[in-house]
Amino acid sequence: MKTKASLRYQLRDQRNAILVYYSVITLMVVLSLVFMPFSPADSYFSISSGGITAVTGMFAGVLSLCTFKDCFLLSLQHGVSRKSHFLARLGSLGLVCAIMAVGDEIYTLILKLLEHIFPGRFFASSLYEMIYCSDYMELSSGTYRSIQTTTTTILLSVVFSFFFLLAICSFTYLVSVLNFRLNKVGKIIFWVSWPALFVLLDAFLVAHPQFANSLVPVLTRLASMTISTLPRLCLTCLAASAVFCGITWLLMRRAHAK
Amino acid sequence: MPIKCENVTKSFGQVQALKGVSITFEEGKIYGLLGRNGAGKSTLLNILTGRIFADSGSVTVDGEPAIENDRAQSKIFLMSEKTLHPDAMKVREAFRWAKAFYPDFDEDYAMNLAGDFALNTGAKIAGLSTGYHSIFKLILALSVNVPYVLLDEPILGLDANHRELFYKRLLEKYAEEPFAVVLSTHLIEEVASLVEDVVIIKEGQVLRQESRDSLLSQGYTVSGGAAAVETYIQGRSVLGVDSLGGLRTAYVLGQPDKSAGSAQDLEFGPMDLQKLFIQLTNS
Amino acid sequence: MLKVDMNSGKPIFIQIAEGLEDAILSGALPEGGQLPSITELSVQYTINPATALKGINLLVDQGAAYKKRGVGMFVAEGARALLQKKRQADFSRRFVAALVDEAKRLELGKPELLDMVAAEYDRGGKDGSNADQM
Repeated sequence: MKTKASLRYQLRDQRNAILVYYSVITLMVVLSLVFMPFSPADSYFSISSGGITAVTGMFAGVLSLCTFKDCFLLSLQHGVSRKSHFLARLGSLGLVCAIMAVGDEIYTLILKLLEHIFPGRFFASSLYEMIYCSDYMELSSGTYRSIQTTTTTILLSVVFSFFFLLAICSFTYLVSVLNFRLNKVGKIIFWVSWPALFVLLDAFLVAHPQFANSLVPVLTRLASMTISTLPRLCLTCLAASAVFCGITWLLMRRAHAK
Repeated sequence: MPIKCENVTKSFGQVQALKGVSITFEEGKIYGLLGRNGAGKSTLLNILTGRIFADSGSVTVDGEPAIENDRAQSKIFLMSEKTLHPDAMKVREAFRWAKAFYPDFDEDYAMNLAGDFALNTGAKIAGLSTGYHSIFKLILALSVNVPYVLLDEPILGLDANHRELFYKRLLEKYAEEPFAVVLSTHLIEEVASLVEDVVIIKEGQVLRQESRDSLLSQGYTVSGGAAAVETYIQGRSVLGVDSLGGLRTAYVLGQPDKSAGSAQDLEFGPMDLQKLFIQLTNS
Repeated sequence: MLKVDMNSGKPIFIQIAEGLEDAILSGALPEGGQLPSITELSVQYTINPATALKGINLLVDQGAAYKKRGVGMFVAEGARALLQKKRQADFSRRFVAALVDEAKRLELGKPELLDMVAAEYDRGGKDGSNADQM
């Protein structure tokens, strides 16, 4: 019962941001429709959305980063066990990713419709199509020609977006829980060491290019194993999400009100 | 259906906040949880409601473990000094969400109380003054209708009128249907008449847990001239002595001995809760 | 009107009981009439209902009040006479002892004291309006 209330709250917490996000990207489409008659016929003016899900991914990541603390503390105030709160989080994670996956696809379809009506002015494809659809053509001017949109592509796009967002959201949520658990010193160490690590790694690779060379095939192999096809990507994302959520639980179960 | 904590210990780094605390809070009684700053009262209340974890010991509600147990925790509500509500949340939204988590929460009653206290329900919680923060919280606590309501410093920053109003509303509710209330506060004098039982915590340990009347009947004050008082208190269990020029007031445990030698020159009086508390908790 | 003084030294429940007794004696609470409820008492004086109940029970124990199931507490018939008799018996303990103690403290002699008492008795009305409000 408290799980349900906590789920409702977590959804409500994220609702406004999601509405704003979709309003903004829709507004941009509307504005471009408004300004279209004012731009000269031969000028290169188009709105192209190739893979809005990449942007949605960034937004969703930030959203998940910010949703932990307020909701957790409110749950504690209302006597919700951490277990119930976590379960509610899983529920809201799934629902939010699903909603955004569908939202992205609707957005993309609207743009495709506009492309149909005003060819050359609008262009859209989903991130899934861009990555996984082989009959994707690159035109000389650097724009892309979208493939035929079938129901299958639509469904697969949604599936792709869902798992993609799932992995991102569960990761950033984990980061926020970790940050919450750390004390001041821990936070400093943690947030400094990541960029420092990258800088060091980069310097190392520059200094020893042979490592970089031997690393590339390994990474390519890894990429092909995990994300080369849609089923592999989904599995990878699901596994990653499971790991992130598992660690999140381990961190959450001893978290206390601050 | 009591809340029982047994042998609860908690340390924060080097500091031992609670050292083996065992207390029982029974249904339907108003408790005063008294202790000096840093005695461990807030820590105890936070442990009872699972906000922080004890190092050892157990907490049960009606026999079942209270920690990480939604059902047990649905019988308890804690208003602590720390506000756990999001800053941007409005007061009336907080009421709505309280209802979502506690089905017996009475929103109408809460709105009426807000009116009585002149609390603007459209205000953001973060924007409330200290006093109105407290008012917001105690309205929640009075409206939630659970068997155990724990109030940590409920009257912080409240003016006299609001304090009086709070006590009246609390007693009205209590008289309508008794529920367990734990008032953790420094304003001992004011709550002394409200409470039925008293728990005194000193340096992380329970010093006393008994009914207020029984506690107060255990001691008395004896006042008079310095010499007379000094003579009287020889051999008696004295908690402390106040001096004012040549006059003395001694706080003594036990029953007044009116037949003692110097008794004519002495005035015997009852101990009041605040004085008793101060005497007991002065290290 | 019933006054409760937290600092007077007398336990609150006794003050409640005595206040109610005063009201019965003065006729403010007529025989057969209803006593203030526990709720009213506890809210009015911000005291724990258990304390208010204790006070009322003192009256019940003396036979000055009784409980009507489901309705409330009522003043017993003959309560006035009963309380008057009790107070008369208590008079010495409640008032005279303190009077004598104070007189002795001020080194007033017995004849002086008795004269004062007689004078005061003759001065004021019979309705007990002698004492100045201090």
